[in-house]
Order: sequence, then structure tokens, then C-alpha cells
Amino acid sequence: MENLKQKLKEILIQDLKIQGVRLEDLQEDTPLFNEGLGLDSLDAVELVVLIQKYFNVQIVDMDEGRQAFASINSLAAFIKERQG
Amino acid sequence: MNAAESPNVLLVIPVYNHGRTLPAVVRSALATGLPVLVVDDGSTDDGPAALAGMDCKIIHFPENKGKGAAILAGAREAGRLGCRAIVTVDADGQHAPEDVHLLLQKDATSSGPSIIIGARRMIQDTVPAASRFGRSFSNFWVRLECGLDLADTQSGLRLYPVKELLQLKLSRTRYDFEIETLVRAAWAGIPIQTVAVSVHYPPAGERISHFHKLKDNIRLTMLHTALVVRRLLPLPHKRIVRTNPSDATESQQTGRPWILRKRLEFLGHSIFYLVLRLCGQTGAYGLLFPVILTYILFSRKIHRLTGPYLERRFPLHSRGQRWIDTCRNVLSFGRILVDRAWLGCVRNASLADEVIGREKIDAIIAAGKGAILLTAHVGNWQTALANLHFLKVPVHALMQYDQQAAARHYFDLGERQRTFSIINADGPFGGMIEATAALQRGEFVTIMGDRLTRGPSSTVDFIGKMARFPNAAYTMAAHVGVPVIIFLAAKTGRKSFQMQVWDILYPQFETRESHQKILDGCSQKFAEALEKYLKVFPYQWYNFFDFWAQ
Repeated sequence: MENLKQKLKEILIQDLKIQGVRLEDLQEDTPLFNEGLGLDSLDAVELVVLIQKYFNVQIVDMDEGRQAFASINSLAAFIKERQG
Repeated sequence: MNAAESPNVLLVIPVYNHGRTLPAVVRSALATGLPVLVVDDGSTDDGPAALAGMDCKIIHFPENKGKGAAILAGAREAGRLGCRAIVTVDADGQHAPEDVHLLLQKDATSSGPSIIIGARRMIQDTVPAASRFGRSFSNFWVRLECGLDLADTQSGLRLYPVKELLQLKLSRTRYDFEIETLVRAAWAGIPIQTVAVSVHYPPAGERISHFHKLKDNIRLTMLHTALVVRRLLPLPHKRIVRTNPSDATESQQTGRPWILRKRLEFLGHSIFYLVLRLCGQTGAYGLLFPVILTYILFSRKIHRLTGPYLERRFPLHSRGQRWIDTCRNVLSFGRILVDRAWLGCVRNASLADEVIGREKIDAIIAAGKGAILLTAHVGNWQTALANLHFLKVPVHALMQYDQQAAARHYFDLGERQRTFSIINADGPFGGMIEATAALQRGEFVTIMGDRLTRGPSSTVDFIGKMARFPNAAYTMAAHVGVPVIIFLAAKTGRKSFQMQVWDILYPQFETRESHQKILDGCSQKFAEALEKYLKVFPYQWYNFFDFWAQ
């Protein structure tokens, strides 16, 4: 689980290029979108594609998106659950 | 409630040759405790003479002027007496005057002056079929004219606020009075409410009605025509009663850029259905000419809405030519709407379609790839979206809610199968998750590439001037790794249209820094494709606002 969260942080920093946040400063319970890390709906596209690419897990609609993108913790839990 | 509690209300009974029913009606009207005024509209049957000795006022017209004139005379008298409201009761005995109290109760709970209609429960067997039909027909027109869904627009049992009623500019004095009053009152901001009341229709032989089938129906038709035309003119209505600013009404929204489209769409959705059912596509096309001509002649705004595009597309045209261009532009939009309604409501209606560049799309599908179909508000784009079944893969339309409503409307009407599902762009994540998932499954997503509502944009040259275009579609395509097919529809004949692949883009992001440049490049390609399209179909551009200012 910790490895998974670490990987997610790397994706957020390196692939999504979140501005002004260092890897070690990323809080695991901060919301990814809007007031949290400030991602927008186009970042959702990229994140959905990256999650599919790295973990082979598909996020299909906004309900799943809301659940998965609530925080790094919930995204890790979502991936874990889908991977079985 | 008795008269003492509502001393400001005068009960008005307009009378024309209702001698047989009148005394009983007046007697039960007096039993309500309200002061009663009978307005004798030039009766020739001596009926009002039978009221001698009863405690009611009578106004006599020397000759017949019409029910509306009688009611207005009653209202003026009420005004003189210092009454706040009048309640009108028909003299033919169809209303139970005790129901007047239901209207008064409703009035007592209203926050300000309002018109209250006693909506008749038409369950009695003796209600004539013609009355039932007349009622729903008239309700339909009123809904069209002022957007109010009222249960009974023809009922003569009503409460009117005197001051507001007398301020309305009314032109009709006969049976058409009651309809005109409702519509103009609604336009003036006077709230209209209804309460259910009983109705008594005497058996056929005993009925007294002075409704002249031919003359009064012609009057009503002329009234409805005038009201519909007025409704379509984008001029504000004079408000007598100020409503809450939070109750957005259409007249308050006239400043919004695509109001013309909304109005015409309203046209397409409502009036034309009737003509379409009766006379088909040809009949509705015929109706378009006078309606649009009137609209353009009387509208002060229309040239401001079509001008920004037409001036760029035809910079050398004179004023006269520009006027004709506007007519052609609006008329072709009207035809698109007629077609849409026609396909929706007439069985066997169909348009022949031709897909130019289909092999390119087939190749993408064969490769198992999804794609974005980028389209625009040109040609018959909605009909085209409904005809993508040739694609053989599921198609999703990413749409804003208002576009969705219009598209839904189209689909719900017809029995034809939905060929695409709608992804709501107003939802969380702007529908992007659903769209991405669909593209990853190898499905198609259609996006409107010309209307900037929010989100990132590129400013590029379009017909000689810089314009902003949304560019989210290219970002999505780059991330998911699918092509963007610029796919525009055009009406090519009365019963035919074409869909054409104008360009295919393959946006790819390498470094973060180059994103904007790539997006701008894609937007420029889209603008060029649109420009090429408009060279061929100059009158099929339906962004009726200053596109370059968006």
C-alpha cells in the first residue's frame, strides 16, 4: 500500500506536473481536485489515462471519479480494490 | 368569508340575452354577500327587466359591444367605487356563485395583486365535446404565447385586480378578451393562479351561448396569430407588476447572446408542430417565409446578431445585399428547425444522407481506435448527430445542459432509436471521465468545437480576425491517443444533407511547454476547416452572436 501511494505521488508530480508542490510535501488526505491540489477536469482525463496505463484499472464515470480522486489515500484504496 | 371581510370586491355579471338564467344567477350572486353589478351588454330579450327590486346595480349598453367591453365597464365602475378587485361570473348559470369564495380565499393568500381563474372541473357528462376541445386548444395557445400552463384559460369565473386590469393595453372586446387579458397580464408580470371550481352545463336544449362558431373562432385565430407574432418579437414587455429578480423571465434574459436561437428554437418546437402534422415539411417551409420576414422587419436586433459573421463572410456586400443575406441565414436556420421537428413528429419523414470521407472514419474504427468527432453549430448538426448509426460503434455526445435539452427533445419525440448517449458536460469533472473511458474503449465522442463556455481556449485567425476557440478536445485526444475528426454537417437540399470529414488531427504532446503551441495549431486547423466549409455553405452558420467577441 505504501509503495502504491509513493507511486501515485510520483505520477502526480512527474506526469501531471503539479506546480509548486514537492513530493515529500504531498499530503495523502488532500483532495486532488479543485481546492485541494487544484487539478481540473482536463487533468482528470490525464489521470484516468495514467491510472489505466500504470495499474490497468479503468475509472469509467464521475461516480467512480469522485470516489477515487477524493485523495491519494482513496485513490490507492480504489486501485487496490480493483486489482483484487 | 363574507362580504364584510372583503369589502373591496365587486361581483360583475356581464349579460347578453340570458333572460332565462339571469334572475337565478343574480340571486345566488347576492347570496355571496358581495355587492353585485350586472352589465347589460345591449340585451334585446328584456331579461334585465326581471331584476327590478333586486339589490344590484345595473349598467346598460344601448347596443351589444361584447363580453370584454362589459367586463371592462364593470372594472371601471369598481374603480370608481374604490374596489380593489372584481370577480366575474357568467350569466348562463354554468358557475356556482358560492365558488366565488374559493377565489377570494386564494386571493387572500397571494402576496400581491394576481388574476385568479376558477378552473372548471370538466367531469360532468353534459360538458359538450366542443367545449372540452376548445379548452385544450386554447390552453395550448396560451402556453405558447406566455409559457404558462394553465388548467382553464377560457373560464369566465375570474378574479381580476382592478387597477392592474385597467392598465393593460387590450384590443379585444368579445370572447377573445379573456384570452388576450391572460396573455398580456402574464407579459406584464401579473401572476396568474387557478383554483378548481365546479361547473354546471345544462342539457343541450337549455344552453344559452352566444359564442358564434365562425365569427368568434376567426376572432380567436386572429388574436392568437397577433399574440404569437408579438411573442416572437424580441422587444421587452411593459411590466405592470415587478417580480422578484430571482424569478428569471425570458424578457429579462434578452441580453444573452443566443437569444435569437432560443426564440427560433421555441418556434421550431411549438407552432410548427401543428402545421407539420397538417401540411408536412412543405407547409411548414411555407409558413417560415412570412414569420421570418416579419421577424426581420420588426426586429431591431437581428442584424446585430447576424452581422458580425455576415460582414466578414461578405465584406463587399451593400446594405441591401446584407439584408438579403440575413434573410437567407435566418431562413436556412428556420428550415433546419422545421426538419428537426418534422423528423421528430411525422412518421415516415426522412432525409437522405451522404457521408463524404467515410472510408477515413472506417479505417480508424477498423484499427480499434476511438475518436473525437469535432463539430460546430453549422448545418443540421443535430439531425446529423442522430444519424451516426453508420459508424457501427457507440457514439457519445459531450454536451452542455441546454443543448442537451434541445437534443433530448428531438429524441424523445421520435420513435427512432437513440444512436448516441449524452454525456453531461455540466457534471463533476465536466463529463471528462466518461468521455475518456469511452475513447479508451474505442468508442466515439462528439464535441462542439465552436462554443466557448468555459475552460481553456486558443485564439486563432478565423475569416480574417482573431477568435477564441475551446481547445479541450485536443488535450483529451492527445492524452488518450486518439485522432480528432473535424466532421461538419450541411443541408444540401429539401430532403437531403451531407456529413463530411473536413480534416483529421492527431495532436501529440511531447514536452509540457509545447502544449499550448500544439493546441493553438489544432484550433487554427479547425478554424481553417470551418472557413472552407463556410465558403461552400455560407448561410449555414448558426452562431447568432458576435463570435469574435466570445
